[in-house]
Amino acid sequence: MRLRPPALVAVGLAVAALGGLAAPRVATGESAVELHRAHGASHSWAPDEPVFVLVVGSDERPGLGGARGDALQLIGVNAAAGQATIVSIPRDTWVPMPGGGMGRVNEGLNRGGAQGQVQAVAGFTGVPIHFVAVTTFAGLAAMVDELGEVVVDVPVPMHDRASGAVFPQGPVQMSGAAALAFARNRNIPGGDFSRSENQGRLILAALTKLRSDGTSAADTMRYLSVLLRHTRIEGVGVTDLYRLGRVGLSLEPERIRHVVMPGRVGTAGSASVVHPLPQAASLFADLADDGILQHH
Amino acid sequence: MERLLPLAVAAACTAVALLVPTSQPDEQATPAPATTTTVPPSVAAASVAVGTVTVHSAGPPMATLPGDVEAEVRRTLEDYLRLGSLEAVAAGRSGAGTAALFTATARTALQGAGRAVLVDDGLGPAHTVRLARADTDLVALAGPAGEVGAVVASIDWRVTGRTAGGGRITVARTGELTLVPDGDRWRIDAFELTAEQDRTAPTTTTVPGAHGDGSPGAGGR
Repeated sequence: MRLRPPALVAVGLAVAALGGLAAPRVATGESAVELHRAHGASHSWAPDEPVFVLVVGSDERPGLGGARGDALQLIGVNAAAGQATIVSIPRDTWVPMPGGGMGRVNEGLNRGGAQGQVQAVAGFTGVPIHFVAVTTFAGLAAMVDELGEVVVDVPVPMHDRASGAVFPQGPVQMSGAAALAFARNRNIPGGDFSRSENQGRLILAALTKLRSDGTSAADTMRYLSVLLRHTRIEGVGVTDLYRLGRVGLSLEPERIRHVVMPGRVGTAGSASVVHPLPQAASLFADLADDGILQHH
Repeated sequence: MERLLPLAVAAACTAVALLVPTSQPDEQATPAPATTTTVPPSVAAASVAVGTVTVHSAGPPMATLPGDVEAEVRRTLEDYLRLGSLEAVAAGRSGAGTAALFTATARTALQGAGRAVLVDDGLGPAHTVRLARADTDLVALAGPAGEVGAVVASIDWRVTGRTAGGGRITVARTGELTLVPDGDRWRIDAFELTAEQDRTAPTTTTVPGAHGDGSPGAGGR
């Protein structure tokens, strides 16, 4: 599960802007001057394999027994290509559970912690997940508040008392609490599918905001320190996380595909669940080979 | 003949002026040696001046880097400054061991397109090499347990050298170096740098010959 340095070696120059090397020879009359000016950068490794990250929004909170993966976003990053994919997985997706039996995919967190959630998602998608990041409701809100409000393009008007999501359609500047409400609201057309899509939308809005705030190495460190304070990350050390952060900030949001797993609402016994459609398997196979959706 | 004399004198003076090196602001103005002699190079010690240190910590606030981490980071920076710049300017080529200061990631760049900005090959040799500026600020990322995973050094370094012919070499290197723990030491993993390499040397202007081509120097006959 851990990112292996040898596997990361490879590494090219994801951002290698070499240029401006010039060597004019200027006769001044009294002396000859050679002036070389070179600018170069190599600040992103590009693993020779795609990196897959599972981002989990846990519903763990005081007074609630256990914790479930309330939000599940499977992110594939192909650093060499400068592309990434976010696949939002509805939390009620009915899948084989680690250890046997069937269950909602979000029960993986309750049964086996972060690794249990990884196994539940990896088991039915076939995508090799390298590391997992788990945050809570409070953690998400705190992260947004510390990093600064994000502007989210709200797709439909929201008036949901349960989540507290009350937004007009269109761009809305959101605090941490508002972002959390937006991410939790499923009383919208499309229900859990739309909610999952909105969670991915929030991730892209956050990336856009951070890129506009600054993408220097120091900026990256500041963002990651906030992330690490409010997120439990397993499977990756600080150094590789920093490298991945540099890659992430280098990605243009326009080059990140965002899709929702194809599924249909159904039942399993008396429970309301989401059954993956047959095309979901081909979508995940398409994702698994290089982190990019070529055929979907 | 009398009319041509002033022109001949002017030409001679001009030729002499061209052969005298320009004055050096950081050196005593001395005439260029008539012949090239081998001078043991004088190379400044590579000592970076660490200014601001900032640690972004996911755990308890850290006012500065742990002493052992800062010492290791400083060691790598100073080895890089010495081998990649000071000794490179002195010898004309960066010192052996430079590549070992880079991770596999960055070594690819060092051995390829990034070499021009990373090391000062091809400027020297120079007999007097000075470190005129070595300003360095550090920013680090520490994990929840206080483990430091990466350090970014913002550098503003300037190296000067004096060549045997009386010329000058000036290298100004600015930007960022990212260092990470890698095996037995901290190594440079990434960079974003600008290097300005300036070499000034006296021209070896040839005084027009006596049987010349109609130029002033030839007019005295």
